[in-house]
Amino acid sequence: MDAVLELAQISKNFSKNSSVRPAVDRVTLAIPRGSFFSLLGPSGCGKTTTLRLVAGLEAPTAGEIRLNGRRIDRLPPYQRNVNTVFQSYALFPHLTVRGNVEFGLRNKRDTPVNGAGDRVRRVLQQLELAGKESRKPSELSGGERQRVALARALVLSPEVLLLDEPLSALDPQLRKQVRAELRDLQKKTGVTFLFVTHDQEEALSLSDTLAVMRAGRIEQTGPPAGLYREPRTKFVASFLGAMNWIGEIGIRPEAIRIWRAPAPPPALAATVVEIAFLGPVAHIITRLENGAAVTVQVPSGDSPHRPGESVYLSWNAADELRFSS
Amino acid sequence: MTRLRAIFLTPAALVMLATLAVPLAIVAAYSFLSRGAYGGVEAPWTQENYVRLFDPLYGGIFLRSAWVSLLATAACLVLGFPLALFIARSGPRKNLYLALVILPFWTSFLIRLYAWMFLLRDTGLVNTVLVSLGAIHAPLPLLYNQGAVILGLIYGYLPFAVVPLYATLERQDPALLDAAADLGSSPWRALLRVTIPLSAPGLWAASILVFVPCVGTLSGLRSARRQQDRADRQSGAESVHRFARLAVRSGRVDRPDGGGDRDARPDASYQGGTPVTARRVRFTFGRSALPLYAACAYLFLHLPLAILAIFSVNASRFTVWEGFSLRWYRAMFADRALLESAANSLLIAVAATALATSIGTLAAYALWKKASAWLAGSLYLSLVTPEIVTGVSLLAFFQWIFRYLHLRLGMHTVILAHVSFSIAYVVLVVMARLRNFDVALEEAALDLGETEFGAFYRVTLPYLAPAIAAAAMLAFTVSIDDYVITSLVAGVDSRTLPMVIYAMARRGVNPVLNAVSTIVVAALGALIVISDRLRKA
Repeated sequence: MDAVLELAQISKNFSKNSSVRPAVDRVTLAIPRGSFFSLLGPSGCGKTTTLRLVAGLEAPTAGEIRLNGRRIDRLPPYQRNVNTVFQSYALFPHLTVRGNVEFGLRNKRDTPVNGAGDRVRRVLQQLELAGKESRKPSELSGGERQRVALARALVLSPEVLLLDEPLSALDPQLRKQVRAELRDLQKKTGVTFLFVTHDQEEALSLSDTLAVMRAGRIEQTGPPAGLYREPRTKFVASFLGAMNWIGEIGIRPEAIRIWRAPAPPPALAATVVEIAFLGPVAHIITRLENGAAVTVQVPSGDSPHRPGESVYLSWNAADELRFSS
Repeated sequence: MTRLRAIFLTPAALVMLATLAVPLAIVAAYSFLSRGAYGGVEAPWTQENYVRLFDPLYGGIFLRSAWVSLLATAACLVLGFPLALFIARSGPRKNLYLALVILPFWTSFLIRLYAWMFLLRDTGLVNTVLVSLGAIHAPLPLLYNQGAVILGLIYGYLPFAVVPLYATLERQDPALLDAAADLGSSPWRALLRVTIPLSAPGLWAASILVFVPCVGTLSGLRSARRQQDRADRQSGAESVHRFARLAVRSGRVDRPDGGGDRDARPDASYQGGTPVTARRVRFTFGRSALPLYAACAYLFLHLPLAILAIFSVNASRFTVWEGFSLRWYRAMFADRALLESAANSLLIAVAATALATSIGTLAAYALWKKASAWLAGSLYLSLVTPEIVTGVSLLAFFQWIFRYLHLRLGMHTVILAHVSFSIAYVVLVVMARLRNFDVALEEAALDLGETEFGAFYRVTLPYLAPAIAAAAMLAFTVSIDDYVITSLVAGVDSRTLPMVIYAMARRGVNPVLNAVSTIVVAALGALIVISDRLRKA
């Protein structure tokens, strides 16, 4: 695998006190060239710090960061060929759309001015910002601002584009649309995307490769489907999609079948507590005799069950997820 | 709602009308009258005074004042920007650093002026040290030249530049600097292309805040001599003239009287800015240069007063250290005139503070309910009007009204004048806290059966208590420190401490004055620290 960006045993401790848990703890990652790579984790897990370490906005306490095999972890941010789409976009309010997009080009002395004009035009077109060049950020919609932030970074042809929760500032309706556009953009430009998010749906739908982070550490790395089907830890299993825990065994809601009549063992008896309608599917929340809650996912069309009803739950042994810890 | 607001608004509106609008109108009317044979004004109407204004003599004064003010403004911006940047980027300690800029300027301007005289005059500390080191043979003429005037202006108005610059810098999103670095800007380029362009509003505000009072004080003092002739002569008015002369004996340009330093005080409202994000902006230039610069700036701001304090316990009468002694403090407590004036100052300050705080708080609440361009405008006008103009117009007003009422200048006129110029400070401080007040709290009180006044009294007023206390402290310091206006409207029985300090300074450097200054600075400093604590509570 040709990795464009490598993190080797990267740690970041904001406190001088070594007993304080580091924000990033010996993270090792290899980001394949041209891929869409996501860092997924709950807030405070260190994913944004990891991104800022790559951008050069924080200095690592230990470890190495290599871009195309060259160490960059001691370089200031303005000497690294990676660019960031900030969570708040951080558009310069005193500059127009064009001014923002040209900002980085003006810092590069080796870019000829006329060639740069073409590049700016192309990027603006690609992101559907043509005709809005002379607007100020305050005159743009949320989606447009996000595209300016993307254009501003992409125009510099970064080796890796770092995206820090770029969809979180958008309203939910827009978010789904932009998500698809983002995926298209990555495919079209071929730029490596390192995408940070706490939204598992975003990460699952966008990424070629996914790394789940928890408390400063990488829990598991792999393709989304692989992580969903074969999570290596309980945390990954719970964080990606929904999960029922029956003793030490984990079972996804969609893997459970629900019966009215007693089913052959190892079926369990349960009582329907509540039915949650979710559009295409419904979740039947049941309670086992030992008090544990188990959610069963069924197509929403055929749900003859009623709260208070006695039911039986069964599943294939192959769908059971077991964890040593 | 509207009746309560009208009642709350009335006292402030009346005070502003009587002490600002009417006096200024009288001065405007006088400006078209001829000079009377006995110092008063008389018919016929004439525009002669305005013609004289454009006379080369006066025009020259204005041009020179404008030029010197421009130089001082540019210097304040250049010197103030890095200091503001340092404060804005100093994390959790930034409120402390900001207070350190403002603190010396809440203390008496007369004493600050005196501190520089103490340092720079022919037998002052700088010359004494240089001569005794053998660096020079004869004392350098450090005082009474254009350089000294600009130095004085910078010293007097640097906080006016720092505070608005800090306010814009502090609001700037640190993510923008991250973005600039991420897009390839070195720290210096980021400063030029992001930080400075984004500070444009602050730079404008700072320019105006520095330039206007500079011009006002420089040209105002000159014009004051003319105005004095028109207003009936008073012993107090005389001293303005002398004060100007004391400041600039060379007569090239008038020395700032520091009159505008009251304008710095509303900046208190900036201090309560949003708490620092615990964000570290690294890769910024001057990780050591900026703090070093800031240290020098703080020395410039604080050293003159510190030296004064040290020499107040010097046994010698001269600028030579002869050992520790409290003799000047003993001399101070033996001086009856001094103690009497201190008592007068306290009495005036307490009365004016009580009145201004009540009137100002009610007005702030009314203005918060619904803006009133007239009242807000006149409050701002009272803040930016040079003290000399306020003083002269008040004097003209009192003289005019006393023709009909058989009254004389005295404590009551001083108190009224102090109430007039303190209200604006009170309103600003109280308004700043009201901005963070949740209207829903009052609505909840109304919903729970309170009347409008009840809601104000039982919900809003307790919430405002810290701000009101801070406003009172501020009004107190403004009042106890005022010289120019007080000296104009005071009667024979109402000499205040600043007037006595001024008279002493006029006779030259006097070690007793070092002791008085130290006590006044320490007392006012303590008051300010206490009011700051209260405001934050």
